[in-house]
Amino acid sequence: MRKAQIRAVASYLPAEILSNEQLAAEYPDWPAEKILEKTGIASRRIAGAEECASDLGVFAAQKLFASGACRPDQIDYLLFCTQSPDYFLPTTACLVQDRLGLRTSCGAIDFNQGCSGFVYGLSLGKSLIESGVADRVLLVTSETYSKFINPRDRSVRTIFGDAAAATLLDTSESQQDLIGPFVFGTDGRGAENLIVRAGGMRRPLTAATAAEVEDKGGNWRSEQNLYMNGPEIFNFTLKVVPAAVNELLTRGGLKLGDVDYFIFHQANQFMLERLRAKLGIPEDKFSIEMEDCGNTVSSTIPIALERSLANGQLRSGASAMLVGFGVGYSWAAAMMRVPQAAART
Amino acid sequence: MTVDAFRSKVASLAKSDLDALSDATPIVPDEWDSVDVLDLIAAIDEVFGVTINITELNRCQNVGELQALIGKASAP
Repeated sequence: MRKAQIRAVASYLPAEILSNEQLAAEYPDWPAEKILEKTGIASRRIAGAEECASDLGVFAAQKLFASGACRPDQIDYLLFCTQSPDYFLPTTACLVQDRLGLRTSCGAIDFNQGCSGFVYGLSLGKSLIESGVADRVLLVTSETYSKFINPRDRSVRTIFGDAAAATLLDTSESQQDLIGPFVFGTDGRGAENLIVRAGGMRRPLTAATAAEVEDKGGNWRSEQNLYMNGPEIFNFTLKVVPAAVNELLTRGGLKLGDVDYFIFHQANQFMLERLRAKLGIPEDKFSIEMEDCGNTVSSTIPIALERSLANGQLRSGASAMLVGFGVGYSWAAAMMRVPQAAART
Repeated sequence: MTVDAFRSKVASLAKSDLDALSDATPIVPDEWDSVDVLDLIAAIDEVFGVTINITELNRCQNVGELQALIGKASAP
C-alpha cells in the first residue's frame, strides 16, 4: 500500500545568539543560572533585522536538498507553517517556491499554526501523498517570534527563539502506517492567553497599540507584542497533553512501553519534566532539545527529530510519538515510524 | 513530592515559618513571580492530581482559601 513517510529533516538556526548571561545583565534579579534552571534554555537564536520567515525556511530547505534527500524540482507540494509571515500577502510559500527553484507546477500554501503546526503539517502532507495528489511534499516550519517580543518582557524573551525546519515527506510501499494515527484538539477559549493583539485587521497598528505598559510582574509590552499567560498555558498543558497521549495510544492499539521515543513540543524544560513524570515516561525515551535554541514554536519537534536521528537515539524502524501543544489553544499528536533510509542531514 | 514538601513550598511563598503556617496565614499570589506560580501549579498537580483556576488563585488571600481552591478542584 502507498504510505507517506518522513524521509529527511533539516533545520536552520539564525546566527545571532542571545545568551542567559546577556539577559541576566538586563534583568538583574534573574541570574543566568536561574534562567537555565527554570527553562532548560542556555541561549536562543534571533533572526536578523532583515531576516524573515521565508529566509529561515529557505536556508533549512537548502540544507535538506544539499543532503541529497531529493532535488528541488522533485517537490510536488510545499506546505509552509508560520505565524510570522513576511507579508499579509502574498503567501510566504509562493516566495519560497521561487527562492528554492521549485517547479511552477508545484502546489504551495501557508498555514497559520503554532506549536501544534508540525504535527498538523504531517497530517496534511500524509493526506496529499496517500490520496495520490503528490509524491513528494516539503513541509517547512519557520518562525521569527523575536520580532513580536518586547525587549523588556522577560516572561517570553527568556523562552522563545527563532528557527526553521524543512521536512521531506515521500512515498513508501508498506502494510502499516509510517505516519499516524493522529489526535487533534482545539479550544479557542484559550486564545487570549498567547496572543499578539494588534497588527491584524481587528486591531490595526496605531500609536495607541504601540504604547508600552508595565504589568504586575515588571514586564513591559504593547498590544503589538507577544503576550503569554504562563500559568494558564501550563494549566492547559497539564490537562490536555496526558489525555491526548492516552487517546493516541488507544487509537494506535499501543501501550506506553510500546513507543520507542517521545518528542513533545519543547515548550520549556520545567513543563516537559512535569509532563514526563505525570505520564511515567522513562527519561531515556524522552527528548529534551532546547538548551541551545529555546522554544522555536512549530520547529521544536522537527529540530528534536533531526537531532535524535543524527545521534542514533532514533534508529530505522523505531516508533516515535510526536506531540505539539500551545497557542490557540491547539494541540495535535501523531505516531511515526523511522523509515529504513531516513536521511541524516 | 510529599504533602510536607508541599506545605514547605506554600510556607516559602507566604514568607512564613513552616511551624507558624495556618489557614489564616496571608498570601498574595497576584504579586508572586510567574516562575513561583508555575512551581505551585506543578506541585498541586503532583501532590493532588488537579489543576487550579488561576483567576481564583489570584483572589486567594490566605492559606485556607488556597486549600479550599484545591479542594474544589479535587471535588468530583
